[in-house]
Order: sequence, then structure tokens, then C-alpha cells
Amino acid sequence: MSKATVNTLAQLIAVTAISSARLNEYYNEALVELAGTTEVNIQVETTPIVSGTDKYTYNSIAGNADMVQVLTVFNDDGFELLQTNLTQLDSQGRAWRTDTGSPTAWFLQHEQERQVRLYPIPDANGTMTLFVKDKEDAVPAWLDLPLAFAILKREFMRSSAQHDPIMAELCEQAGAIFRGIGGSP
Amino acid sequence: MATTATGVITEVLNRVRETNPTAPRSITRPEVLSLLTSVQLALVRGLGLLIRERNVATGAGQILFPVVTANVLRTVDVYHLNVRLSPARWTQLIHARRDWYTHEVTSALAYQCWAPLGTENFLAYPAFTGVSTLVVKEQQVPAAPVDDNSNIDLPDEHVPQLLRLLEMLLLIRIRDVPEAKLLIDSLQVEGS
Repeated sequence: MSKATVNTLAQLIAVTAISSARLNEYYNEALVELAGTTEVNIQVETTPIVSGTDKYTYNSIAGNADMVQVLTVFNDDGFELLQTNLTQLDSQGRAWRTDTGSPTAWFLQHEQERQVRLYPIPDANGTMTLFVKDKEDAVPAWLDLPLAFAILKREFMRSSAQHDPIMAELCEQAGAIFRGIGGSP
Repeated sequence: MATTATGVITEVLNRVRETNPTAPRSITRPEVLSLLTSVQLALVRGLGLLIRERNVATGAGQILFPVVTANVLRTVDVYHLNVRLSPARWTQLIHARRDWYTHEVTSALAYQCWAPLGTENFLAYPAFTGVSTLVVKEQQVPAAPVDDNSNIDLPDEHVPQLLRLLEMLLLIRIRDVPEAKLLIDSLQVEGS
């Protein structure tokens, strides 16, 4: 299912129109709240490592334009690379920037540039496997109703003409009922 | 005897009409049908209905297995050599060992736990050095009722629960707070 389905459902239950911008905002917030327990948007990607190249932009990784976050990286041998950061590497002196070898660690170069950087610079071609998180607009269909109610709760809580704390509470309870049917998590 | 969508929709509109005589006029049957589809899906998922088994041949050293996404709601259980694998989270496997993703063991020790990885894959750990078969239990997506004449893809004994959940949605929609609250309270007490 999709963000559009959830939003349609929310509109159907609320009757009163909610602007698409606000629906998107609520959807993203609700998904962060719910997806923390469901981990629904993880993909596995494999991409070539090119000798001498240590930076890989998100879009170049298996052409996955929806990728929003790298969770972990494995090298050719299936070893999980350590996640590090610039501060840790700089604390070892400047030489790390030119070190070459088989990658043992990865870090985000600049979050806004959406680049994964390997350390040390690979000295051979190979492949790496990544667990990544995709853009969160496609969720399992069974999350549709809990997400729709999470959106409605936010709308009724908002200071607006249809501000209604009681309806917000009902929506929260209804969402919890759908999440908990049969004692499911 | 299978329950039809038309029976469910008529019944739920009648229930709402009892306390809100004019309300059903503002709700169309296609709208109720749309809500019914979502409620049916939530019930099937929550109650663990529509489970089917399939055998998955494992390759040597294979740890990652694709989920058949068409018509599969989620993976419920995984068995190896008739033993149920412990469910886990993939982030727990990270702590097992650094080469967990390619770690291979002999048959008796292989595939002790499994973890969903997104909606399209699951992991079974640790991998087996040879080939084997996993038995995967998956929950199927119920057939969505496309019109009033469609059957509800739910055992008859769960139809009352479907009706109550659907009624709750309609009461919220028409903002009948007292009746919605009463129904929500009773559903919470029943644990559904």
C-alpha cells in the first residue's frame, strides 16, 4: 500500500478535508512513530567497489533513488564494516585520508551530500552489500488503519477550526485497537 | 455459508442508524466497502488467519531469503528440520559476530533464528554450509471485496468482530463521540 492509500483513508474517516501538505507532514511523523517497531522499509543493495574510489553517493548505489539512510555495510567477505566518523579518524592523524587497503570501516561523508565513504581507500575492485532504509511512502497494507488514525489524532490535536481533543483521544484509542488485534505487536 | 459484503454493509449501517437516524445518508456504500476492506485486512493480520506454508530451498551459505511479496501479508514463522526458528530482530544478529552475514555452520547448528528484514526479505541465521529446506509460514492478503456481492474473506466466527470495528469507524466518522467511546471501551476490554 502507499501513502496515498493511507491519506485517502484518513480523509474518509475524518470527512473534513486536510491539506495535502499537512497530511504529508502527519504521515511522516506517524510513520517514524510506528515504523520504529516494525522496521518496514529496509532493503538490501549490492553495489560494486571500484579500486581507488572511496566515496559512493546514495543514488549510485544500485540506482536506488529512494534510499534515505544507510544502516550497515558488508565487504566482499561478508564482514560487517565498522561505522565510524570523521572525528574518530582524524584523531588517528591525517594519514588516514590516503591509506589504501581492503575497507574495514564506513562513514557518512556529509549527510547532505548523501555519500557513503569507505576507509581505507579500496585497493581492489569488489562489491559491498548494504542494508539501507528507503523513502517511507510504501508501507505494508496492515499499517494503513493505524497510520490513518495517527494522522487524524494529529489533525484533531492541532490548533484549528476542528481542534477536538476528545476526537483526538478516540482516534488514538482506535489506532491502538487496530494495532493490537489478537494481541499482535 | 460465506458472508457477503452487502450483508455486512447493510448490518453496520442499520446499527449506526439506531442511534443516529440520519447519519447513514452521509455515508455511501462504496465508502463503507472501502473501510471494510481495510478492517478485514487488519483483522486477518491481527488474528493470524490465512496462513499458508511453502518450502524454500536454501543454497549453501544462504542467509538472506526473499519474501514472495504478491499476496503475502507477512512472514509468520520459519522452520528448519521441523524445528521452529526463534524470531529475532536483524539488529540482534549484529551482536552475534562480525562475520555473521556469511558465517556458516553444519546442519545441526544451522538456522536457529530468523528475522524479518523490511517487507521483501528475511534472514535465517546462521547459514548452513550445504543445501537444505526451510518451511516458511506466511500470512496471505485476504481477497478485497470489490463490490456488494463479494464474499468476505474471513471465517464466519470473526464477522461479528469485523462488524464492531467497522461500526467504530463509522461512529468516529459521524462524530458520535458517546457511542464511539462506548464501543471503543468495550473493544478495549475484550482486547480486540
